[in-house]
Amino acid sequence: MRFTKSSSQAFLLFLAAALAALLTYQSKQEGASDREEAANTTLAERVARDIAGNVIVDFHQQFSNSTLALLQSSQGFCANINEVNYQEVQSHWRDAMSDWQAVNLINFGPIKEDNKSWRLQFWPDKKNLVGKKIKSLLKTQKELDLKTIREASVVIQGLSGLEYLLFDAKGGQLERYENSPVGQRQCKLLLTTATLTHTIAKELSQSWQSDSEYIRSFLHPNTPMETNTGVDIEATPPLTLILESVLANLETLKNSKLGAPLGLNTARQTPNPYLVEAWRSGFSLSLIQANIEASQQILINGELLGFTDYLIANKQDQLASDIVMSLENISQQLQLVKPPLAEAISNEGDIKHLILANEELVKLIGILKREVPKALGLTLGFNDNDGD
Amino acid sequence: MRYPRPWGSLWGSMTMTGIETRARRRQFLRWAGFLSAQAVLLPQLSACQTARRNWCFSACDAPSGQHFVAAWPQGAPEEGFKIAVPLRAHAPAVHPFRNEALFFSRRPGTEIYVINCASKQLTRTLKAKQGHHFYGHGCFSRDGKHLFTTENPYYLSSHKGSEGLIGIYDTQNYQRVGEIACGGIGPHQVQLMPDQSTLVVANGGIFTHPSRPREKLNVDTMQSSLCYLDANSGAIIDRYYPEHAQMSLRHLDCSPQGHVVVGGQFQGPAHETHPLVLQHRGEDTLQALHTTRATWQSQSQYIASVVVDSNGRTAMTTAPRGGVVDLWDLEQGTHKQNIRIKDAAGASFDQAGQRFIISSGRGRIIAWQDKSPPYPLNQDSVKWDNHLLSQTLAV
Repeated sequence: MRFTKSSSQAFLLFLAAALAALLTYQSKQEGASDREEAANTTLAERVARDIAGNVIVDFHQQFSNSTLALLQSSQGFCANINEVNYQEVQSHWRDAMSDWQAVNLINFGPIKEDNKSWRLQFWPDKKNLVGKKIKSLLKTQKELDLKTIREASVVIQGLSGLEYLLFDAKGGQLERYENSPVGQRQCKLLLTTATLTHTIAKELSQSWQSDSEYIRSFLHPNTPMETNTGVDIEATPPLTLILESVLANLETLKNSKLGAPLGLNTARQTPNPYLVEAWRSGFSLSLIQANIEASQQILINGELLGFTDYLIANKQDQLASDIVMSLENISQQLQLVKPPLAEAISNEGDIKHLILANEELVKLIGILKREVPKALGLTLGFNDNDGD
Repeated sequence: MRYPRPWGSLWGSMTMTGIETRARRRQFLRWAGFLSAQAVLLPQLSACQTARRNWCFSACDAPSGQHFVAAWPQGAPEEGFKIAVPLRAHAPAVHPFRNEALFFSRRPGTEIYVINCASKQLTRTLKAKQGHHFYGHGCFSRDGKHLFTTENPYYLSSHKGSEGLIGIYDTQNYQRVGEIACGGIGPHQVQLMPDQSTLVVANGGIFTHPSRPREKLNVDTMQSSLCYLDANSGAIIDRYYPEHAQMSLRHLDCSPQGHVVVGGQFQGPAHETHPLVLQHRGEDTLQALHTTRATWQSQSQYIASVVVDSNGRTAMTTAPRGGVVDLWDLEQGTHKQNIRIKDAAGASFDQAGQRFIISSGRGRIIAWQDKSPPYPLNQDSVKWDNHLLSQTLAV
């Protein structure tokens, strides 16, 4: 284990985290017992219910709201093109992109249908397809209406397409919009893409309403969904589903969002700024922070019952505080990095913190992948992430 | 000839023209009809002579991460065995006449575990030839005298890749007696065709090297293929390429009629959607099965196992990354239906019970008969690995 603090400080931090985790659980328990309706509800069911109601529903509602704000500010900008409105749209893009990090943590349910995840973000984009395809589309006379864009390649859709239109050093600048008729066409694409993005976000949010079929299916996996055409033979318990989903997200964070730009996956370990998640907007570091905050929310779940509470209730206090502390350590290391990430990956002082954050991620993934399932008797996927 | 061919009298300097090879391919398709009738009869006759039971075979991992190879009689899992092995195993193969099961270590493994199913003992561990590793699959000749394995002769190249091989072993003593080129990089699953002399192999096209164990080193230039090989001469009879060079063909099954169904794992951009299940019935090109874009998307670009039923009409494919298992109508070339099973990868056809058997990484064994709902057979604490085999044994 590597700490930036001295070992005694680390020990104190550990004790504080363990105590905080335990106290939080006890206070949550007291609140929970008041709310308990059915005496025979298991703790696992209560934790799942709290995560569904407080996290899953909330994440999607937030995303729907922020994409609506993005759409509305795009409309305002295209109606009145000026610097203030331009910055307003950019700011709403940042909000929507941050909320997308949280939605990304729930990789099951409606997001699996109709290529929604790709429609919302085309990433990683190792060949700069987003830039190439949007540039080439804008040069044509093709219609830029909703139907055309929905049926077009996912490469030009979603938040990644909007990032190009709002931040690209050439194609996303205010002057482009001021320059008619190119600007008019660009505004049309901005509005259509923002509309489509919000439409999908709204669909996701509606699918995850607290009384929705997806929530019922999540909480009661043995009850088949009415809308399914196939047969569900194996139901996954909700906490297993959450753990797998968080793990998949953390693996992406480690391998693609931090490891790949730092060059950790290559023999020469050469940094590549174009592999960071949002290099055009310079917002990648904040997105990683948003991702960690969303992971904290799903694992700890504030005042309601979360995954760490379930661990403590199963006499796994140590694991619970390890998770809490690990997430905190990652966050602290990232706060010491000077944005943008695309530059930080080549700056020796920043690299040190990024590597430490990455090492802490490796540790956290190890805990969630091996120790937690063993302690709680959960069976995670085996062939679905490591085939041949 | 690049490789020594000490096995069999036909191992001379025989070469074939394209016309000859195509003629041969059509010939084995004609023979297949006759042979398949025999194939159906043989097990029934032997079943009358000895008490044979249908067994399932699969590698697995315990929750601790310890690797095992396992087998059990259907309906009596307590009579089976789980034997700890050093390397993670991939697919099993059962000797046609001996109560002997082999488990091939997965890439870049260098061991094959030979299990005596009667004594439930690991009787021998075969080691790969120096500078080679196995790809996790193999098959026996019809008479059981020879074993064929897919291998990577990685010693030949550490950076460009080299064509894979089919290693040939004498099953009397499991000595290696030869090898033949398989017509592509990264041979994965190999099977003997019903004509009993043709091997069909799915060359995944991906170059890997044990120095970078799980890394794909040529994804941008890869070329997958389906190759038919003459097991006697080593000649490449025919070779077919998928429409997209990055469609890595890995797993296959062959119907009694000699029709091949092959499943792919797409290595190109993750957002693209391509058909993952193809069949070949002697046409000039591989034929993609027909279904909706949503069905292909549901498989998450990855097919793990392919199995065809005993009459050659229905195939099953598993897609563990998508958590779906699909049934295909091979006569129509169309999708029939699917079920969702988390992490389901192993698939086999139980000829005696006329049903498909599926295994999952969550320890489930599930049976599925066409037109009936699937039903669980047993649940284990282990994680069943990629492949499952059902075969009768006199044990």
